[in-house]
Formats: sequence, structure tokens, C-alpha cells
Amino acid sequence: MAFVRAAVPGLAPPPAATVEERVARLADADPTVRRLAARSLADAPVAAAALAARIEDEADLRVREALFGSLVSIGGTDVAALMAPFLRSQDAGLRNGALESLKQIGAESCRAAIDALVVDASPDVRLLAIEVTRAWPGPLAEPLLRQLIETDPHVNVCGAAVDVATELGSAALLAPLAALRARFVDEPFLAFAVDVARARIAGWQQPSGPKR
Amino acid sequence: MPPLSATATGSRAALDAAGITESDYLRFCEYFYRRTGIAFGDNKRYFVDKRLIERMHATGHGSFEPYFLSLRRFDAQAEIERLTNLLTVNETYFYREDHQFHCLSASILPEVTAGRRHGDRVRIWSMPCSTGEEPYSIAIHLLENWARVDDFNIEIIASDIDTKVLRSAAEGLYDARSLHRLPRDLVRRYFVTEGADRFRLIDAIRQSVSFTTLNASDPAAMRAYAGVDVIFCRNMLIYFDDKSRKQVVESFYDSLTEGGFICLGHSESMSRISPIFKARAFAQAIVYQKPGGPR
Repeated sequence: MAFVRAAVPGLAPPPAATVEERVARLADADPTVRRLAARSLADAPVAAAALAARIEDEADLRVREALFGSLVSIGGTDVAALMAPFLRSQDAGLRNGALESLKQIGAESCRAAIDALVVDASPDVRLLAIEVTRAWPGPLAEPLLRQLIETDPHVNVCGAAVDVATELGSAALLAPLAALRARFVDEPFLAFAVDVARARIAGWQQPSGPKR
Repeated sequence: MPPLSATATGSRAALDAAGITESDYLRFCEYFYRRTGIAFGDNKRYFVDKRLIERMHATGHGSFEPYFLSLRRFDAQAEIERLTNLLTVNETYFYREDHQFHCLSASILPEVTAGRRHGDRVRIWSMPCSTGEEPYSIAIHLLENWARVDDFNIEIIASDIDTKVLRSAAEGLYDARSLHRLPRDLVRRYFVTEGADRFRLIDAIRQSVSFTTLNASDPAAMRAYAGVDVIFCRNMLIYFDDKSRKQVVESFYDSLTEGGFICLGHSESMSRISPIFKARAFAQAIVYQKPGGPR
């Protein structure tokens, strides 16, 4: 007979090693050992700093994903604070991993970190911080979006805020968006983006523009 | 706003009267796509509107805007799930999306078993298995289409979080609708008629599948599933948020053997979830592979 009954798996035993031993394995030469160690620390908040510290040096994508995954599972404001600096990294994989992880951690946990990042001196960092808010409930994201739409001097940062506002914004953003259009009157792409956002928010029909 | 009874008739006029504008529809589709990866085009407007209105009424919202805003509250998860359930076709039947079964027998298993010896184990995992149509389809398809089916000890594990559907799966009793994609000769070969519209799967197939209760979101429970060569996980991840979705595929990765495969539903893409799997485009289907193992 081709088919045999599989033994029904029970619960796997919890990791036998201590947290300290598993943290030490994060630096093992074998990436499989490092990945399993990272995965096993998903329920060990005391290991959050060690997991975050390892991310930058970790070259193996599978291990890095496990490190991010365990940090997301641990969650909370401390983890958000540990991950936020990665948005400055020159490593695109690290930046994107941090971005996606911050989105998954949730608004309440990473709000303080994002509040700080949206006033960062670097427009690139501000732009990524805005992208995190795309995953937030609209009422939480909107004050930050409004702040940037009203005050940020960089056109690309404002463009990113408009893009998120198109998806999450309420009627309270209509006037700030109109003012933004006037503030960057020489930037046709921003004017177009603002018009789309206002039309979507207000429920107006677009008179023209690309069809979806 | 029309009463619920009016919308329940599904008339276009009743739906129009509910006041979901074109702009509302686009906003909702954009939101739903970002959340689930499911994209609705203009041709789905009637389908989506009708279900939105049903949920608006059920939650006491008189118009689209407050209902849409309510979906983004912290406590909206239960309502989002209800809406998602309505907007996804949650049905299963034998030989559903059978191009992936052809991919299994023609491309995946020859690769997985290359270098394995006669009598070695091949482990296939169907999750979620619902009432059993998928894992039983795998068994029937392999018997009918894979020449090496007798060379290996094939284990088919089928898991679901719902104990009620698992009991039904183990029973192996189906109606004609579940069998509508199966060729008649296969129905005759693998089922026994019970009454006018009931078909019971023969014991040999029923006993080839091991059913287990499993919550995919429980990493500890998922850790017990190891040495899996092929996972079928179709149309489940669309119900999960990004965090849970990623957690589940990380668990799948650890459950798979080196070079093992995972088959997702037609509207799901691993590239939107995790970069650690390799996309493989076979003639029959695109599937995802854990790197490593014999090629």
C-alpha cells in the first residue's frame, strides 16, 4: 500500500536550553542553529536586546527573518525603540525588515518611536516613518499625517504623507491638503496627489486622471 | 437607507440606494487589498457592495463612511474577520485547483524523492483541511497519476483548527456538490453511494489520512510538525494579518525538509509574506520551496 498512517504529532517539548544558552547560540557558526535559537527566543522578552543586537551582523536572510519575527512576537515599546534605528541603515534589507516589523508591532507599541522619527533631520527617515503609519488605524495616524502635511519642508515627505492620507484620511485633512497644494504650487506631482487624496476622502468623482 | 429585507433581495436598485459611491468602493478595495492581498475589480462591485451592506446593517451603521472608519478601530478584528469571511469564497470540493495536484505528481514529488530509496517516507501536509476534500484528493490523485506511488511510504497529515469539520472529514461522507469536479469513473472507484445524494469514501482512502487538530497561530503546536516534504496551505493565510501570516510561514519553513515545497491558494503569494522561500515556476503551477536539499 502506498499510504501509511502518520503518527499524530503532539506538542513539541519546550526548549531545554536556558535563555542565556539560546542567546549564545545566536552567534553560532551554523545558520540553522542561529535560526532555531532566534525562533526559540520569541517568548523571551529579556532576550529582545540580544536579538536586536544580532540583526545588524546577521548575513543569512533566513536567520535575519527569524530575528525580526521573534522581536515582533515579543513586541512592545522597548522592541519598537530597538528597531527604529534600523530605519537609518544603509542596508536596504535591514531597513525594509525594520519597516515591516514596526508595522506588525502595531500603533500603540511603536507610536513613541514614530513620533520621534517623523521629526528626524533626515527626510529619508521621515518618509519611512510615515510608511509605518499606513498600518495604523486611521484616527491614530491622522494627527501625524496632518503634522507633516502642514509643516514638513520636504516635498517627498509630504508626498508620502499624502499617499497614506489617501488611504486613511478623514474629512479633517481636506483643508490641510488644500493648503499643502498651495505651499508646493510648483510641484505638479504633489498637486495631482493632493487632488486624488481630496477626491477620495471627500467622495468626489475624479474629473480626469488614470483609470484603475 | 433601505431596510435589510430590501437589500437581501440583492436588487441593483436596492444596492444603489444604500449609497456606496464609486469612490467608497475604490477606497474599500484598496484597504481590503492591503489587508488581505485580495483585489476586487470593477466586475466585483455588486458582489462586494452586497456584502458590505449586509455587514453595515448587522453592525448598525447607516452609511459606508462610519462603517469603514469602524474597521480601523483597535477592537475591529472580529468584524474584519466576519467581513472577510463574507468576501472570500469559503468552499471546498474534490480536485479543487487540481493543477497543483498535477504539479505535485509531475514536478514536485519527482524532485523531492530523487535520491530516496524504496520504502522511504514522503510526508504531505494539508492545512487547513476543512472537511477533508483536499487531503483525500491528494491521495486519489497520487494513486491515479504518480507512477512511483507504491515505491514510498506516503504519509498524508491533514490539520484544521475546527474539530467539527475534522469529525466530518474522518467520516468521509459527501454530497454530489463536493464531487462535481471528480470524473465519474473516479467517483465509482473511490466512493460508495449511500442514499440519493450521499457518497462515502472507501476505507482505503479514508484510512490513508491522519487528521489532527491544530491552530496554525500557535508556534509551539506547529513545532511538532517536522520532516514535511510538501505543504498544501491554500486560502488560509488570506484570513490572517501580516504579523500572523509571517509567523505561520516561519513555522512552515521549520516544518519542511530542506528543498521541501509549499503550495498556496491562487490569490496568495509568498513574496508578499516572506523572502525566505524560493518561487518555483513549474509547467503546472507556481509553488514555493525551502532552499537546500537535493536538486
